[in-house]
Amino acid sequence: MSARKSLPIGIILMILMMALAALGVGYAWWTEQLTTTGTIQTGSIDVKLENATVSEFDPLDVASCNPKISGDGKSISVVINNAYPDYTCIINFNLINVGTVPAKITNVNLPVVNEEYGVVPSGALVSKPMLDPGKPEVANFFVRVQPEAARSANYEFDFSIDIAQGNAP
Amino acid sequence: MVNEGGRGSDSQTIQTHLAQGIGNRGWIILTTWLFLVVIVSGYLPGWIHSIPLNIYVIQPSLWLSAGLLAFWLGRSETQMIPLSSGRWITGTAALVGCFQVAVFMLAGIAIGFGHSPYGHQLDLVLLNLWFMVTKVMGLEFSRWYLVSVLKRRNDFLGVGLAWLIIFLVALPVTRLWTTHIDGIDGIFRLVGNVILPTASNNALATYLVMVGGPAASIAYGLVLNAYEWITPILPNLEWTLNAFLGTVVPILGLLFFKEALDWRAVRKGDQEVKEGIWGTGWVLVGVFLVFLLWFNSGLFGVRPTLISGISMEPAINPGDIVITRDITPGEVRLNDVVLFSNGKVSILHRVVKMESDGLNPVFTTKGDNVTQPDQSWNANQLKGKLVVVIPKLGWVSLGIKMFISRIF
Repeated sequence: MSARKSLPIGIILMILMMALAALGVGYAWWTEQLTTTGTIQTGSIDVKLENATVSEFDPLDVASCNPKISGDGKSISVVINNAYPDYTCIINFNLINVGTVPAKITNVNLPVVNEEYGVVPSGALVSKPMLDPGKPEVANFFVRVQPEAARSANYEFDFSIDIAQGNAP
Repeated sequence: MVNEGGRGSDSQTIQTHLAQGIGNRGWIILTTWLFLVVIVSGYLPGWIHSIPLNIYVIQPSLWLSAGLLAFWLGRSETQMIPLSSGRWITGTAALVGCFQVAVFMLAGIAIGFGHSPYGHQLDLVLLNLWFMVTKVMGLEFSRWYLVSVLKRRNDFLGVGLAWLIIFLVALPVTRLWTTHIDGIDGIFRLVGNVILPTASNNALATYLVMVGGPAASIAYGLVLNAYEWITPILPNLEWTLNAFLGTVVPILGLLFFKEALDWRAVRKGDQEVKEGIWGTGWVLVGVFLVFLLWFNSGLFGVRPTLISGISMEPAINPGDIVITRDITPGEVRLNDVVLFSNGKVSILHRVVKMESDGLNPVFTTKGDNVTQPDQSWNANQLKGKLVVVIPKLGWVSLGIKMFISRIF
């Protein structure tokens, strides 16, 4: 087999090796990109609410405020019993990013505000910080009962947040 | 262009072609038929696709029909490559197949095996072999016809075109369309695992047909496929290694075959052997360069790092090259020598403390030759674990760097 006769195969081999080299460089470059920007293809975003506690302003010491985090950690339901005007409770909880890429809060879903009480987000819910994977962030919101509210009233509502990938616009 | 057979030229009128019957159009007819076979077997409706009749009757018939068509067309041509160039060449082609199988087996022994997806009861094996043999026959006789006919038209482009046609036909079309390509990663895997190895195998088979006729390429194809369909375990390799071996091993097989032919020619003394335009040496250098490129990019799961500091003396000295292996944070043990990088600084030190910040591990490292520990590192900054130190190999590179920095 002379060199000339097998030349086309030689060229195919050359193209193949160049393609293989390009594949390697391309993949290495792409995975490097991945580790620096945390693209969503390999990462997941998931934020959970944890450890809900309550601090109250309850001068009459009759009301109660019970937050309960849903089983999937996506929302908090709050039950307030025996509330009266000016009763305030602060629901503290942790936001924890259980995904693998940074996440951020895009929206806080406040309950439809009843004319008898108001819900005011505070802490991390206002600053909407970047949530790094595994790093808990303290968040809270106030429930304040309006002066014109009825005495010994009971309220119930749900609270949740929306999240997006950290580098989302 | 007038071909040696004197059958006519491209510029002649259609009437002349018709008068000559199939004439120079045989390759178009065969190519069309091959693509029809691929389309029919790849796009059969789901219910037909799943019945045994498809894989054991319909598809074998289609492939056999292509092989018979090629054979029949070839019989009416005058200057075909002989069906066989003798037992020695056919045997060597089979040996090249064995070489390829052996490399993958060795890789499997080194890295691990997985179960084969094919059935292994005797009846299933026989039926699978029947399917496989018909497909190899159909492909290789078609390749033989196309290479013979197209090479005569144009020594250079003809072979390339024949390679391209059979490459497209041999691509596992059902796998291409049914595999869910998951983003860019999926495209890399598809190119590396399917497209490049298929192209490479086909380049080798095309060469075998040119030298040894369909007997040689069938021998090679049967060995390769028999291994895949019969053995109950197949190497379970990372896709990167699979892609590299799948592309490079047929190239090496081709070199082996070429060298074997040259050696035989010298021994028989009937031919003066010259180093060709694409000499074995150059191809080997190319393969080695691609290997280095892949190795340095860490695509085999290990990567080299050049050491320039003294903080790990006496275990690791400046100028040594260390090979690190990618690991997960869970695999790190106390006293492991681990590579961390925060994007700016890379450090290869010993892990002296492992704690948790509540959820994620935090590692503290210290050089053997220094008294103070380094900063703490988190799991994302973990780049690998030391596997082996190659002493002094890096001095060449360090020397060049120092030389350049002195000049500028």
